[in-house]
Amino acid sequence: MSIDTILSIRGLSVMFKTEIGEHLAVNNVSLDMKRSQTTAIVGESGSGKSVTAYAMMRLIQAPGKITSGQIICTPAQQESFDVLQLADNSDALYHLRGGLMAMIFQEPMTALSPVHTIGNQVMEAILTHQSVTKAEAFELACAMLDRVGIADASQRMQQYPFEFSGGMRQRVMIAMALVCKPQILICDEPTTALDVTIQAEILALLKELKETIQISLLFITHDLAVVAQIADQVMVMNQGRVLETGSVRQILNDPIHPYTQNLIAAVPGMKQQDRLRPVSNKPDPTDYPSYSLIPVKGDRQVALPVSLIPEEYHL
Amino acid sequence: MATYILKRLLAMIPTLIIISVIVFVLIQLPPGDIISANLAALQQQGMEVSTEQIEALRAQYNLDMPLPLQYFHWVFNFMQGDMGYSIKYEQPVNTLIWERLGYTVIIAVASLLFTWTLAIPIGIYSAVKQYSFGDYLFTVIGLLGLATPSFMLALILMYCAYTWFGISVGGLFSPEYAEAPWSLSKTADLLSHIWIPMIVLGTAGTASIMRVMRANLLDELSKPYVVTARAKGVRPLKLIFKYPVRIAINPFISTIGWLLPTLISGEAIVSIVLNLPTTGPLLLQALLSQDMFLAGSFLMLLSILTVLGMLLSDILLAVVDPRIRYE
Repeated sequence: MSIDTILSIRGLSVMFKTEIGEHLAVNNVSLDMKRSQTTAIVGESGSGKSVTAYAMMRLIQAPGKITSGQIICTPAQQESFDVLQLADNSDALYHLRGGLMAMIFQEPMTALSPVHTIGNQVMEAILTHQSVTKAEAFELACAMLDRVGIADASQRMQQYPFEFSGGMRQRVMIAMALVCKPQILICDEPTTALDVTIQAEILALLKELKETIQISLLFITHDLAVVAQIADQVMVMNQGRVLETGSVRQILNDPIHPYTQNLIAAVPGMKQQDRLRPVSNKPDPTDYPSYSLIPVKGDRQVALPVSLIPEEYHL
Repeated sequence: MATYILKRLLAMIPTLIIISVIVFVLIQLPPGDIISANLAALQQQGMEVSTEQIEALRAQYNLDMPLPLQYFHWVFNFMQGDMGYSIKYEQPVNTLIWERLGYTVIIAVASLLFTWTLAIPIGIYSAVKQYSFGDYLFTVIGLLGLATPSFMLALILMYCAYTWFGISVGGLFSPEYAEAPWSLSKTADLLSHIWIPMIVLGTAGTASIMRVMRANLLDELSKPYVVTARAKGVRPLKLIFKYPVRIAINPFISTIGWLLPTLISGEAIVSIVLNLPTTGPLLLQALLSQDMFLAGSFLMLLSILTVLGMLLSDILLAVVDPRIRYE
């Protein structure tokens, strides 16, 4: 683990108990997030990408359970610690949620409480983590809303989520996440529920914020176009397992794993006339063949038997 | 907000006019009237009543007028606060009704408070600790409460109170206070009697509200805004009460309005068993004996209370839920 790694996941497994058996939603996942960079997790629905992110903030609830692994977090100018070793209800855990890491969600329409004002909800984040007066919290919240592009912030603070459009709500979510200056921002499909123009605005905002406030982003998406725009590092997940990791250029231009190749081939193009190809046939989720990640050329890894990795990538 | 309330008040007027017509038609529907009922009783006792006397009686109560005229007469007097004369009890309806209505409202409010203070915390507990031992225990107790007929519970409670504590629990007052003017000790006497009807009437409601609260809260607990708040680092206890409970409780506020009439009509049997001076038994008597002014006034007052209760719960709902306020 090099010094510029802010978060390092090792061998993380998350199990969900279901009526048909135990389902390993996340299976032995390892991931390194580099400081001040954007790491994207790409995969279809049910690939375990959101569960991985929830595990980072210890948000997994019954019937899910983190069964093994380490999540080593190294905040700037602080000792590293294992997120999974923090006691439930410890102050450190509540500081981690919102103070050290923050999260924005897919559905800005439902991610805000419908009966509390925007101001109340943004100020709550401040008052939870900082010892400031309500008046100071109000000023901080206004400044942050202004920063994410909400005009008349002090007016808008008094309003309720239903008085905001989807894009505006996602801006509020971003403001609420960033207002306590976290070092890691997890974006769980933040643009999926938005239309394309708003999606572009939100992506531009996130990019600009990342560069100015030096935050490390974990970006979860199934949209490869979004990955191309925002990511530095990419991890491809399927069935709870990591299939391939590498830089955005390597993954998108030169995928090794057949699944990644399928995923990229499934992006619809303007000239496409045929039916889109399905990405993969899904095997039974309770049955998981395991290949471990094998390092290959160019500081990347792929989960394939050595015999299937093309010769030119061999180290 | 003020315009909203004003609009709602205006909308009450046509509702009440329609209700008054229905009430009047309903109490006129059964064949005969109270005079003919009384007449039959008198003739059975071997008394001769002349046709002139009957006509005089009918005229006294305006029963000889055509129906629409009777209706307008009734409504006009009602609006001036004169609810007519009960032929069966030989008293003005006003003197019969107000005290009983007062006790009914007291008992209804008491059992409502009992229900809520018991059911809502249990519902919250059951939802937060879903499938725990406590959840199952309260579910069983709740279903038992739901399945027990309230008059049965009333009889059991009366029996227990009498055999174990030696207190007579019928009615709302001890005999020495029944006719006494209001005083501190009379209020204390009321409080020592009111708990039995409160428990009896509250139990069935407790069970269902408990289950509804549990279901509502379970729905809310899985909503994304709860995850948002958890990811913000809000502590669990504060989180549950600030967000999901706050929203899960809204449907109950809208039920206050129609809880009032169910408590009033639902308690008739219990009131008879417990000998309570409430409206239920009197309404039953009035309907049985075709005492039309008494029955009509009752139904009308209950309707007004219901409509007001609806207005009250709508206003409360608008206060707690901004989504309603702004529509």
